[in-house]
Amino acid sequence: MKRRSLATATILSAGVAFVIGAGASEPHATAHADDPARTIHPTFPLLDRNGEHVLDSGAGVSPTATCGQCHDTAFIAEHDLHAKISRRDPAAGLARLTAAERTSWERADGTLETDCFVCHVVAPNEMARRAALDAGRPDDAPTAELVRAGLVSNGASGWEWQAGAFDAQRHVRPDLVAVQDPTSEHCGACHGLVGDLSTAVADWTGDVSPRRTLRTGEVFSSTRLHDSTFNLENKEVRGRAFDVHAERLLECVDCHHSLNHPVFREAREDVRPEHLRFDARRLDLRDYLERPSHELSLASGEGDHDEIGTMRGCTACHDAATGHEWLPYAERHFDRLSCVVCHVPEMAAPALRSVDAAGDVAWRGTAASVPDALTPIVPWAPVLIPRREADGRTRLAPHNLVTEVAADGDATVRAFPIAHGVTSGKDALRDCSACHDQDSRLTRPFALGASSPRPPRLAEGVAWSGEIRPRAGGAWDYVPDHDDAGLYVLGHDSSRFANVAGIGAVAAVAFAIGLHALARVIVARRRPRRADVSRRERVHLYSRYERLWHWLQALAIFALMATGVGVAFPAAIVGTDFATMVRAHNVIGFVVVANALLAAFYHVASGEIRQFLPSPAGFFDAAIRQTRYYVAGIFRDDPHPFERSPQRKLNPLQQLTYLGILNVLLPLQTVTGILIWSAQRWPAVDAWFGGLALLVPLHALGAWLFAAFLLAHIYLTTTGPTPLAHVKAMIRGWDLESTEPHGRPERGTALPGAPQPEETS
Amino acid sequence: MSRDRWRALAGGLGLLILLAVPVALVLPKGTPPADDPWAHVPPHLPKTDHSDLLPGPFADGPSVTRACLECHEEAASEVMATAHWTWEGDPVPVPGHEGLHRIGKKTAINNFCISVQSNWAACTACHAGYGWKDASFDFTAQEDVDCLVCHDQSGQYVKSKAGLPAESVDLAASAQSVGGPTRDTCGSCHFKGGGGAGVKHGDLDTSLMNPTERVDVHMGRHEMLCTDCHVTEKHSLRGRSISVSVDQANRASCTDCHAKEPHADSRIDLHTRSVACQTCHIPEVAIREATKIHWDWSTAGKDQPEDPHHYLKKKGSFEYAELLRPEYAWFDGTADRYLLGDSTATEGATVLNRPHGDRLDPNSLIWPFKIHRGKQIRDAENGYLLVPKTAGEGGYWEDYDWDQAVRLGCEATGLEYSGRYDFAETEMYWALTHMVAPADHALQCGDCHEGGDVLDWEALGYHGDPLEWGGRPLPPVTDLAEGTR
Repeated sequence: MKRRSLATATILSAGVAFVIGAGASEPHATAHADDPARTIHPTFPLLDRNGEHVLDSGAGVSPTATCGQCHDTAFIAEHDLHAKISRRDPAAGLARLTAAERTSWERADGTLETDCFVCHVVAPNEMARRAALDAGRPDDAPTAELVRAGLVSNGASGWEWQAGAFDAQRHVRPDLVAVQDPTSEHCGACHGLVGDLSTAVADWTGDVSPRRTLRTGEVFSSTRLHDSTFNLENKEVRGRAFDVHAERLLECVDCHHSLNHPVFREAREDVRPEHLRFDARRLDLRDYLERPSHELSLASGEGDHDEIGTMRGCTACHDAATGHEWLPYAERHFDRLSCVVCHVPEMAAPALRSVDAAGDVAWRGTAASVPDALTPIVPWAPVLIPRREADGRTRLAPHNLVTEVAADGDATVRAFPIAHGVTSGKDALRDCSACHDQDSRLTRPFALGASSPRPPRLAEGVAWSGEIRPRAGGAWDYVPDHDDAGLYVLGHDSSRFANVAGIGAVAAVAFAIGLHALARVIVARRRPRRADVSRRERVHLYSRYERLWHWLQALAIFALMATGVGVAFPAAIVGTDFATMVRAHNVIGFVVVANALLAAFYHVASGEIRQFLPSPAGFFDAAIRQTRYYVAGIFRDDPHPFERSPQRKLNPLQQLTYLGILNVLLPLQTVTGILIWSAQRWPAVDAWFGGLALLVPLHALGAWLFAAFLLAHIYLTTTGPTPLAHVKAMIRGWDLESTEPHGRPERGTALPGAPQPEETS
Repeated sequence: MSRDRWRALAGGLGLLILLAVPVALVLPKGTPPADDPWAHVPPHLPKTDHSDLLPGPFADGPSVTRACLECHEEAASEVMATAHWTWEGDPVPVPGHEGLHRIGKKTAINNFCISVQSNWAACTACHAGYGWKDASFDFTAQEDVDCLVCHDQSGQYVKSKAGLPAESVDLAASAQSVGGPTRDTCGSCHFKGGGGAGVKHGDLDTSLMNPTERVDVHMGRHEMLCTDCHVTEKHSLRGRSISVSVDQANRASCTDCHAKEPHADSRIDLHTRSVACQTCHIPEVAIREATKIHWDWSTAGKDQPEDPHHYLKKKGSFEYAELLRPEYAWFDGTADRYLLGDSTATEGATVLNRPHGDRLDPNSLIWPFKIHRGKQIRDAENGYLLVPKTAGEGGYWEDYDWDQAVRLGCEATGLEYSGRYDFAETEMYWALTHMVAPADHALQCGDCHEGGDVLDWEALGYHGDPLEWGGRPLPPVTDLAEGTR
């Protein structure tokens, strides 16, 4: 690893940092700005601090005096985001990684003159500007930016302006000092990698510079990954651009626009009259050009300046509803996840992992101590932690974590949000199982890479959710906790209690059935079967509709169980995907509910509901008889104590079970199921009931109990005259019942209102 | 019982449907209308082993053809109806000319080797027939159809003067190897047009015989054959080129297989109303082999150092370009045509086949072209281009005498020669449609918009970049004629 003293690092970071090829850090002029015929900016004289022409005084140029001839530079200085930040006490809290990170303009203690040229002149001489600042000559910085052949040079006795650079009016020639809107390249000179990366080779030696790319791996470029000079793993199949907005020709200032720019400015929602969609009354162009606010809209940021939260969010330009039709629970995802969680699936540039006091740096995405062309860059997935967004909601958002290790071994983890490097939907994360699986991106440990003796401390000011855990080799991991973040993720989360209790219930029933069945088989082998089917007569038990709803319910419940297992344990899905499982489960759930409601209506309307209501008289006797039969009589081949008839189809134990199923289990599953489904439409209702974290385990427990019931239900169908008799009855409607008299007379056979059994055809 | 079972089965099926229908209704309706290009690609017929059927030996080409015709009775008459045999098209009106004209290689003039007339034996090495050595060739003799040039799969079949098989060819081996046309058989002529690999087209050269996907995604990634797009029916191929035709009958196009708006992004789809698929998907041609972009005949005949890519005494001086970026023009599929005897342009270069198209014509699209520029011999007094005899006895390549060469040429064409010649600048357009890049290598927004320099908006008739200035006026989508992409 490369060792450097802090002081060297400071100078190097400002001087050499992050050059994209030789001279490429100078912003490229766009075609329009290059072409003097296309610019409407008038020519102008260059003035020094005293308002004298530089040709007369021979002094350095003053941007505020020069531009102040037309523009209100006092206003601009007052309304300048960059100046505001530079005026703050650097020690007070910009989350810089090291002292070396303080940018050149910060070191000027806020007394630096507003430098218009650095953002508005085509191709400013960035290197010369920094050299002047580093040498403690901030007043010379604007002139240094203009150093070029034919205009001004740094002579022995000060600045030497070339008379030939000025026209007859003594205005500077527009081909030497062309003025333009800031391009992405202007911003990128300080903030990170932008522009054409197909030929320029990134130089990463400025390992402690303040650039955003270093902190997060964000790159704002239209270059396709496979066309870039990056030594990316599997490069040939990476055909997407680094950033789709750059590819679609947006510039930084299209989103980070001036707050009083008449094109971009929008009236705030809360002060706009309700009947107005668009307010045509806005700042006149002339006024804007005189007093353009240099407060630039920002989505988020450090500190508390007014600009934070003024940027249009993704959905202010994009209609998220279109294009996400494939995504179940789209609103829920939008509500809990920042768009960039899926639309920045991976970072294609290396980023800092840790920095120690000696300036030692470790990287994400490359094994090299300084990223180079020989070591492959392996794209890496950012960690997801909560972030408060412009609309005031907190959502999971991608971050990079950088650990700073101080000389005394104290380590601090800082989180840097990621918002650039956006992909279009085609290249976005579409694999549900990235999160909805046991091994979920949401909880995967994120290596901190620092080997500090004590666990690193999580920096304040971030809504952390999770903890630091040791990993082998003395290093540390950050393990995010989505539960802390208020998320319950289907397919990833499950309740141990619900599953243990549920599986226990199923296992107990299965065990009991197994024993019972074994005993029956043994007994039956010892003794010839007594039951004589021929002595039984056919009884019509189930009407056509009853059979229909029964079998539809049976099929649907089995389908629910299959899809439910898929939703809960995505690893078990075969041949389709998680999203389809979720959709199918929801639809089938509604089919079950609808079928149950129709059946309930049928039973109430027809009076058949009575079948399900235990009659108090002799109920316990009958129940005990029935229990005895199952426990003992069945092995002696005793006659069934309960004879089924169209009027009485259910024995007392069945009545009891169905009372439980229909009044407790089915409503529980229905209500929890509907609430889980509605979590995306009415999250408040959902939250009132305890949220998914309560509802889903309840639903799962109910599902296990249902499975236990089904096992018993199916097993008990074999207790008829023949093992398949009851199943056949439910198919054909007719069953065979013993004609032998029973000990106990039946209730009146003519139940009022009971439908007469229909003829089978 | 069996009836019960049947009923249970039917009932079960009914229930399944009852359950499946709501699920199917709610699941997302898949991606937008599936673009299934393979559905349009003709199946490759299995090859029949001809080794027992054609034992040989064969004395000459026509005797092979006679053997073929014993079974494939209609084959020769089918081929004889196509341009591969006639080297000319149906009579069509030509803009700026009266009457109907047959356009084709037989009589057309270009700015490469200029014309077939008077140079038959050399040019007809690529004729799908045997023995066309002069104007007297019999176009009705079925046995002179060359089956092997398209169907040989032995790899050793080579044609020489007048289209006759070269001395070295083992005709029996070739005949026994026959199968469907391959990239090699088509390429044996089309990859070498203009006298060498890649000379003429720019988007067709020998690198397409076994290309990587970057050279051509259809042939490289999907192993497609020429005849997959140039669909063949009764030996007649789909396909058109404005180098030898003026209309767009029987044109092959991307949308024969691909959806008209196949992109996932509606903004990109919107481009298909004004931009040919080729414009974005063929960002450059001559990817592996350089193509000729300039040919100056006027410097020929000098005894100076020769180099096939810069100067040859026989042909004059050349310029070649590799990774050629196309030039762009509005194109509706049809073109002008310089006919023998037409006056050359008084100013600037004479365009031999200017593509028709206009920004205001909804059926025109911006197309990529290779423009081959040249300087070729002209009658200085009559002001029209001349056809020189180059190859053969008395030709320019024998005697280096322009005067004699154009006199012999005029005997063949019937043009009058004033006795004075000079050299005129000419241009020829080659619409680019092969060497389609994988989608990941297509042009990006910034290549043309917001300062991108691929398209010269003002030259195309726009006020400026349509992204800022707005596009061209177009009728509603449904009114657009089809088949121009």
